[in-house]
Amino acid sequence: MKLFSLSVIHKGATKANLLKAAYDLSSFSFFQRSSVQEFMTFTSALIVDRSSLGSRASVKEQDYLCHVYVRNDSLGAVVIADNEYPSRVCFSLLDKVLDEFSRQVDPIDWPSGSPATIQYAALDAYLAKYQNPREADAMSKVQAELDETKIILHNTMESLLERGEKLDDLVQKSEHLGNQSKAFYKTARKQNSCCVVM
Amino acid sequence: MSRGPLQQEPDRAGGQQAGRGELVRQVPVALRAQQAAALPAEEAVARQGRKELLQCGVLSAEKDLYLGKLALTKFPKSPETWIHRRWVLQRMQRDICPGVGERKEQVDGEGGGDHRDGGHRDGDRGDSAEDPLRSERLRRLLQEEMRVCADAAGRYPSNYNAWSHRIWVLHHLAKGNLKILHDELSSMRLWVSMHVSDHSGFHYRQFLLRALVRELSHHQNQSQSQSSSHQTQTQTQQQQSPSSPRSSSTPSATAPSSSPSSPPPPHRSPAGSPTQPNGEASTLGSEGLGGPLTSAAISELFQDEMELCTDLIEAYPGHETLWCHRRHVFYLWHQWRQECDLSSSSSSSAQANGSSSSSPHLLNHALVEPPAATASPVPAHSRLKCGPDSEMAANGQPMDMEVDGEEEEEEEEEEAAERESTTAADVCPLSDNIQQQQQSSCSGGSGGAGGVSGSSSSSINATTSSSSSSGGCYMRDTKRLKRGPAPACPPPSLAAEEAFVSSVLSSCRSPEQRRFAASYRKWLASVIGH
Repeated sequence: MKLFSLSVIHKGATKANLLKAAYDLSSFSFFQRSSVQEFMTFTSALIVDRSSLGSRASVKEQDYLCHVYVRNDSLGAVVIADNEYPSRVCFSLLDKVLDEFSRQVDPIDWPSGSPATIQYAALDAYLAKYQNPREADAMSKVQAELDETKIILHNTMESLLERGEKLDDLVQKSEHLGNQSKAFYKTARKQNSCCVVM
Repeated sequence: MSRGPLQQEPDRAGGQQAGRGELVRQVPVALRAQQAAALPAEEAVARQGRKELLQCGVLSAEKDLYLGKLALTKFPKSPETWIHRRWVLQRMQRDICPGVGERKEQVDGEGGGDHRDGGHRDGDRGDSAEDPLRSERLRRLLQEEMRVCADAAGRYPSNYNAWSHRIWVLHHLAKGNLKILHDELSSMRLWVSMHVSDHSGFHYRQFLLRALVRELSHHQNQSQSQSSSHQTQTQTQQQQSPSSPRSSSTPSATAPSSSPSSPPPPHRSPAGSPTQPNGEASTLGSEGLGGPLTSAAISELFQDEMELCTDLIEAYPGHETLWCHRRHVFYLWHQWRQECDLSSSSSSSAQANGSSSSSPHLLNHALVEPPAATASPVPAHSRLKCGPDSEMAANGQPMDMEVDGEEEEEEEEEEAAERESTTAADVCPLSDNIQQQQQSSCSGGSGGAGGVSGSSSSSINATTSSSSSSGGCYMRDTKRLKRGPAPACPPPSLAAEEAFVSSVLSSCRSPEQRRFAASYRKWLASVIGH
């Protein structure tokens, strides 16, 4: 079971703004890593953008599960995990991270901040620590607190999109993805393998 | 399409007869061709080339293994790579221990027969001075293979090829080595906890358990038979045991038993009885306590495994693999308990024949029974069972362990089989009286697995475990010792399983977990009986 990325994103009125992110791409081959990272960022931002305030959701995409929590104050966090990793622990992690982040970083900075300007360094440590869910988290506590029925489950990314919206278009317009990644996505789509990277 | 230089020879066999000089020049080109070969067609060609180079001694086996290791990082599943790897390893093993290798080749022709005997006879004339060197080389080889397998298993989920290779390596390079089996079991704990839906990983644990039970029971039988020295069979076994430092099929087993004369301190010994893993005569004769201690050790193995399974099921709800594993382990335990009961009930005759026949059954049944066991209504479970089993049959290699067991104890098989069928017949009516289960419960656990009432076996459990709990502690490694003698959880039993299922059903929130728990309960009812 693995965690791949952990990001804090502000849900603005018009767009989702990435504030800080950590990645563990060790399981990907070297040449794939930059593309993978970009796609993870793209996906995380998209998910936050399409989630409503005060909601928790899990979005399934191929072998990955993206867990998101968007708070009522528009601060959101996304963790991308594999399908073995217990979702309960993920949500506990998201709660923790957002709690700490909101105390350390002034809300003024959220709408316009970027990973370069935001002063919050704990994400990498959290990602590393939570690679082993049992060491990181007292499960019984989380079990009691969280009501699982409130978590929305999306079986594909498509279900997040609005009517008529296409993922391909979003990929093309995205500022998170470099040209190479966009080209890669195009060819992967053509071969019908649908973006094996992400 | 570019082909390697070896292909330029009109006659491939001619390539081997070409001068060494020419081949030496071709080595770097061939290796580059291999490295560049991305297409399967070229890969096969390049592999054949490597085989030839190896046979001429131009290419070193270590280098070839290294190349294979690199290939596996890109194609962790590639069956041809694994098969080629096994070919290379067999060659290396022959080089390291020539006598054993030749013997093995002969018996391999007969279908993977009695490795132990083969090793022993040649080991007799073996050079004792070279043994540590040989065993060190084999040990390093083994460790490297374990690493490669673990790496490949991490790169691809449920990498059956990697895991079955791992089993093959243990079987051929470390047969009968209790220490290694124990080490593998403990080192895999963490891996398996972090890959809870990797069926092949758990299947490996089941293999280790089976192998350990088999080995420990075998030593138990050896010790029992030695105590009754007037039996012919005993005499043959005794002949084997004095030379047992070299008697195991591979000298790698001698590495842990490097101090043959003195019994190892209890905390070092992973085996059931405080004897060498190879069951040497000296220590066995002096102790003579093989019986209850190995029983305790085996029982503890099962306990630990069930504890691990419980732990994981509770921590990670909704993974079918864990429930399948639980079935396997409980079934193995159940069979072993039955065989213990059988041998203890027939111990009035106390023949070596009778007792030693109990060991192969676990293997025979493990091979034969599971398809019957999956008569229970869980399609996914039966898919799991039939899949690996049929693959194993096709592959031929992972079955070596089981095939080996069958052939070793061939003569006792019929006798034991008869006993099994009569027991089943006796017990079935009994179970029918106890519970109103239809015939399916008997047929579901056919061949001696079904029908023994859970309550009686659990009561027997209680007595054995209590009497042996004091002896059980020093089978484990030091870490466990510090916790004290009493086992942390009660021994497995049908009642305990029922209780576990009930507790899961009452407390779980995940619908999949509920479904798996319910199927497990059904399986318990139909296969294990009441």
